[in-house]
Amino acid sequence: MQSMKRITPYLKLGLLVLLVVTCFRSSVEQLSEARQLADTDGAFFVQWEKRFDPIKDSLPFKYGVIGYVADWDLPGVVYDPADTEAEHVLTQYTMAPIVVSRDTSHEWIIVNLNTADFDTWFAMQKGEYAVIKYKYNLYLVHRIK
Amino acid sequence: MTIRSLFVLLPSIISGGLLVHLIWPVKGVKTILFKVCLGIGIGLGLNSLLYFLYLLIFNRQTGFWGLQILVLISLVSITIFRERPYHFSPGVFNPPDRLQMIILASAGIMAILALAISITVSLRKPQGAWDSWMIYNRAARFIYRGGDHWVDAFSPEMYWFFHADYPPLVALNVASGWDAIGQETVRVPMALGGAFLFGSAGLLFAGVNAYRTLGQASLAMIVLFGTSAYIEMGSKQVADIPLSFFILATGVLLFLYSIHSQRELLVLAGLAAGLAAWTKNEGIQFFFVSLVVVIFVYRNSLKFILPWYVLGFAFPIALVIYFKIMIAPPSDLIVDFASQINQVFDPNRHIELLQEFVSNLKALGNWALLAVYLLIFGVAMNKGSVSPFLACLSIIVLQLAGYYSIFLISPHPLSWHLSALYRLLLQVSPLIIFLYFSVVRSPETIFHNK
Repeated sequence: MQSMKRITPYLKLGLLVLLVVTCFRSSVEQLSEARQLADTDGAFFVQWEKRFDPIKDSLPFKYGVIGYVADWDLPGVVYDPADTEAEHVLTQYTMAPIVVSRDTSHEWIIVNLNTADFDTWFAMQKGEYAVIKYKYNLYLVHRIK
Repeated sequence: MTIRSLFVLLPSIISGGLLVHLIWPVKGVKTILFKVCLGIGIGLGLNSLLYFLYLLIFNRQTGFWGLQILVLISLVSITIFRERPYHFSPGVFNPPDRLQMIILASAGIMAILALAISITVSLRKPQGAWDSWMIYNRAARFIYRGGDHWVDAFSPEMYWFFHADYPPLVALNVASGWDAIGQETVRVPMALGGAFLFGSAGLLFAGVNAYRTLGQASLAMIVLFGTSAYIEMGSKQVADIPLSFFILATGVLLFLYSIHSQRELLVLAGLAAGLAAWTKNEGIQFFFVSLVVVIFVYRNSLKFILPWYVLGFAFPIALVIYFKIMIAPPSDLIVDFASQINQVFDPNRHIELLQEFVSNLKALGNWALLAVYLLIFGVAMNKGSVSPFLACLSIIVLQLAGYYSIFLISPHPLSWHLSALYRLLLQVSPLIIFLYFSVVRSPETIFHNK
């Protein structure tokens, strides 16, 4: 019993040191992982902004709601949902303060489809439209009637 | 730009500290540190509420910087006027002993490491995590760029995964920072993330130090910084870390109220709980949890306690209610309530949820080591009654139960929705660490069993 009492403080000290060292090791590992993170985002966001600058310039308003058409609006098209979703999110982030709605009944619509898919989608539309084509498979569609 | 981004947050942070001091004028070395750290979140929270009111009333951004300075000058003047007759007395200051110095130095090294991690992550992910720019910085862009159309940030036309219904504490602070600087820069959300990250660590340190010892407080901070992903998430600007600040603040303030019985602590706890609701939807759940806990734990003195708690949360909750009713679109979590309720009876869903909860909780910290540490060091709950511990424990358990319930009835694919679980657990992790180090014996007792 006496020897146990003598050992206990050293056991506690050992545990205390172990706790601190474990946390310290975890922090060093976190720092190492952080240093391995690649700065890919910055250039990506800049590139995306550049893509949409001409569309922003073409729109006759600075605020309001526009539609957005992507692969998910074409029946039967095989697409990567994560990629399509990411492109919509980036488009919304870039176009702010204009709301980029998935409702395609708006007067102005951004279409993000390759040429063949755009033609298919456009053929399905009723009414009169004006279309401006941009780089990177982007279209701005204006519903006239 | 980095320095300017840090400076634009300072008026709100200093105002927050002064307001905390005006509400709770207790003096002393330990309380000063606590008030400074608490002031970070309270100040930034109130800044976003004021900015929201400013936008509602004037429908424009410009000029808010002037109001921030006016508030700061007013609070400084009131504080000087009120403090002038008194001489500052820091109280009894016991210089740290050798063991405390060693643990404090270790905590200092951990804080430097945490700063290095935070800066590294921020520089490599300047836009923050996916959710940060998609939800909060996106909303901030709408507010800053939108002029009198700022309310479009919360448009019902926005697709649900933009979470336009989320309360706007983070977005409003970012937008008001951009307004003050005069341009959009990623440095403002970075600085905001850092303020809440290190504010939470400081609050944990100060909270444990206020109740226990310097060594114990240093250990608590070491464990928080050693918790994987807390620093990373804070540096990636997600709102879970600001929410963790307010959850910790409410828990610590209720804990301290149970010991000191100072009603001012109840006002501050109510304010922190209200600001949690203004931060994120899970914060609204937390607000109700805190209310239930206050009613349950202090049921014998409720007539006295509740009015002070209500006084604290009245302002933020009034604006949360206004925001939710008048501005925010409906939540994505309620689509077909009847069929969602049926999910409660699906045993496979419970099994999947329990497995995920267990694995994510395991990943949150080194529980085995902490359990052995608790067993060997023992428990020290000799000050006051059981109510402070019960209050914190109830908050943690009910908040976790709330997360579980939401996942249970979620209309989204469960495996996809559960990817957010780890971040949700980070919301309560500082309070768990606070409770742990309030219960376990201090390292100072190693050689003398106090």
